[in-house]
Amino acid sequence: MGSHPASLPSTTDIHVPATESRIERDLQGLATIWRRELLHVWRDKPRLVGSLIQPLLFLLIIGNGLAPAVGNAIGGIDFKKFIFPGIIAMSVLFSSVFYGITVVWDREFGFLKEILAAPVRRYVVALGKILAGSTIATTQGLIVLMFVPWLAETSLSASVVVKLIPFLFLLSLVTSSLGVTLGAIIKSIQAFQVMMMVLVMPLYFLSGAFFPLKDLPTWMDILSKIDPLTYGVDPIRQIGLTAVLRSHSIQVFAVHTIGFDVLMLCVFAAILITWSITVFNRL
Amino acid sequence: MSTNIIEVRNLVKKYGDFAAVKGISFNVEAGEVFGFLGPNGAGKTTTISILCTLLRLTSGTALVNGFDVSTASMKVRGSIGLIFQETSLDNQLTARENLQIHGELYGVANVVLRRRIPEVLGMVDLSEWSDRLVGAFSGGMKRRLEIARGLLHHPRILFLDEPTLGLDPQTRSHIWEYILRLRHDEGITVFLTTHYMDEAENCSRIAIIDHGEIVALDSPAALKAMSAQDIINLDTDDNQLAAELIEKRFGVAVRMGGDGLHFEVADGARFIPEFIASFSNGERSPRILRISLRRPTLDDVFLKVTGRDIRRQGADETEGQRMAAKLSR
Ligand SMILES: Nc1ncnc2c1ncn2[C@@H]1O[C@H](COP(=O)(O)OP(=O)(O)OP(=O)(O)O)[C@@H](O)[C@H]1O
Ligand SMILES: [Mg+2]
Repeated sequence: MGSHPASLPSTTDIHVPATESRIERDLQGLATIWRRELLHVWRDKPRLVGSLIQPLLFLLIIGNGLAPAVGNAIGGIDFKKFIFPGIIAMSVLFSSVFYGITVVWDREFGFLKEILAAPVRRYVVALGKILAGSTIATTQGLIVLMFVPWLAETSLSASVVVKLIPFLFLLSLVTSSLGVTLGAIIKSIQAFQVMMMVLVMPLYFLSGAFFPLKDLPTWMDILSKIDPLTYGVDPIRQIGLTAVLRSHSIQVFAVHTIGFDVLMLCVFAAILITWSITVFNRL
Repeated sequence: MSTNIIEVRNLVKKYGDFAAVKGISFNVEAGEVFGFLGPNGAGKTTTISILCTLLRLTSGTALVNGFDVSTASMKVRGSIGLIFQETSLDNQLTARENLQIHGELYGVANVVLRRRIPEVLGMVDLSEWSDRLVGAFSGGMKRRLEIARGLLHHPRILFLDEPTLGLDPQTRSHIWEYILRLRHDEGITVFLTTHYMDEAENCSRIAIIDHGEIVALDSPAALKAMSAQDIINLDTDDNQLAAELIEKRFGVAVRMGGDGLHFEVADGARFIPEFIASFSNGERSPRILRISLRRPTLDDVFLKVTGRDIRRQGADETEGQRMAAKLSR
């Protein structure tokens, strides 16, 4: 063999992370996993742009297509204004559930083994993945939101946008844990895509994103109540429409109180994150 | 004085009813290159996965660096480096980024990483490739990067599962140079699996594993001495008859192979002239076409202890099986 360093460091400088506490190690692991995921998204800009196009098209085409027919029938406001909160929730849902496929890819290309063999507790791996998915989905929801004043002819104040951020994030947490867990359970990319269609569409259509959840048949009413997205669309709509609703009562659109929505989102997040950690522990 | 860095006692691993590892016991001494040699499905990957805490054992005990794999998995993981049978790099990141992430996951401080990353890249001659995306690397380069990554956090043991699988002969011998040199320079213990006999020769000691059991364990030289006989390969114009005559006259077992007859004798060099003389004297002896003598190899040892020829399982078949296994997963 050719040239190589004649003197290498002796094994006396073996790195033993003894000074760090367990919490510090876990946080470091979390940050590393999170950062890698974001680096991936950053490297793959076509994917980033591509995933923005779908919600924007929905807003543009469905909004404008249905607006003349629906008129002001829903709560006395323009249909485009009615659906934009639903489209924001949709982009969060799609982006974070679709993010779960990265777990399937990591398994396919072997990198999952590198993570699973590392001295990092599994709950850290699961949380790192979920938080990265939530970050990406929230960011995407915010980017779509930037187009709303233009595409839905609605004014949005900066304070409304800021108020929406925690709700987008909370919803992302729920949907990302769902995506990541399914990604860890389902082992093939095709099966994951089928599952997306089977699961995501009903979640989306039953959430009140497209039509008000009023006077529904009982079965639909029940399904919409166990759909986590319902509790995401509801507060986003109530907050997002504050500018438009000066002359209207917010109660026309509200399904629940915002406090109840937050509570339900937290319950769903707790259940799904626990499930995710359980699944990662068994990998 | 020798200390055991790995101690395995009655290790059993069952997948449902099927026992992939059937109660094996062995020790690995600090500083040695310990080889696990066995055919496909012998249980090599299963054993390595248990020692690296990726699989839970069914029964028995295993200590790695003094830590119990069942109860101290984080400590075991932090003290070992691991190179998997299949690649496990992040193709969308550069070589340097792969190492950085690994270092962070293993709790190596950033100040250490800044020095250590260029160092390990240099060890495997990948310095010029530091900032290239790994997706563009060849199979051999990926393997080298994985070796560098496995060493990054100064592990005390490096586990390699078939480190040269699917590489061309030249790259294979290069990988071996790296392994042996790194073991020397870094002073670590190497535990590897292989089903190449010629590679097993590089090990300090070899365990031959077959159907989940260790059937032989010793240094390559001692294993070969086990069958202390020389091997004679003979071809005649009537091998059937020749085999009968040899068995009758010399009382040795003769095997019929594609390239003639094989049999073992104690002192081959002395035996051959004697044999030729006795064969040409006989009334109706077959005519000798070719005769050769060789010292026993690990292949012979393997054949002897398992009753099968490891070479029968060609590389193509191996790859085919792996692909099938991968697709069915
Ligand atoms: N997850 C599993 N479920 C059921 N059986 C398994 C599983 N993993 C491995 N096996 C079986 O256990 C046995 C040992 O497998 P292992 O992968 O340890 O063999 P190996 O010696 O590494 O072989 P190779 O040289 O092909 O890598 C094989 O018969 C295999 O089919
Ligand atoms: Mg194997």
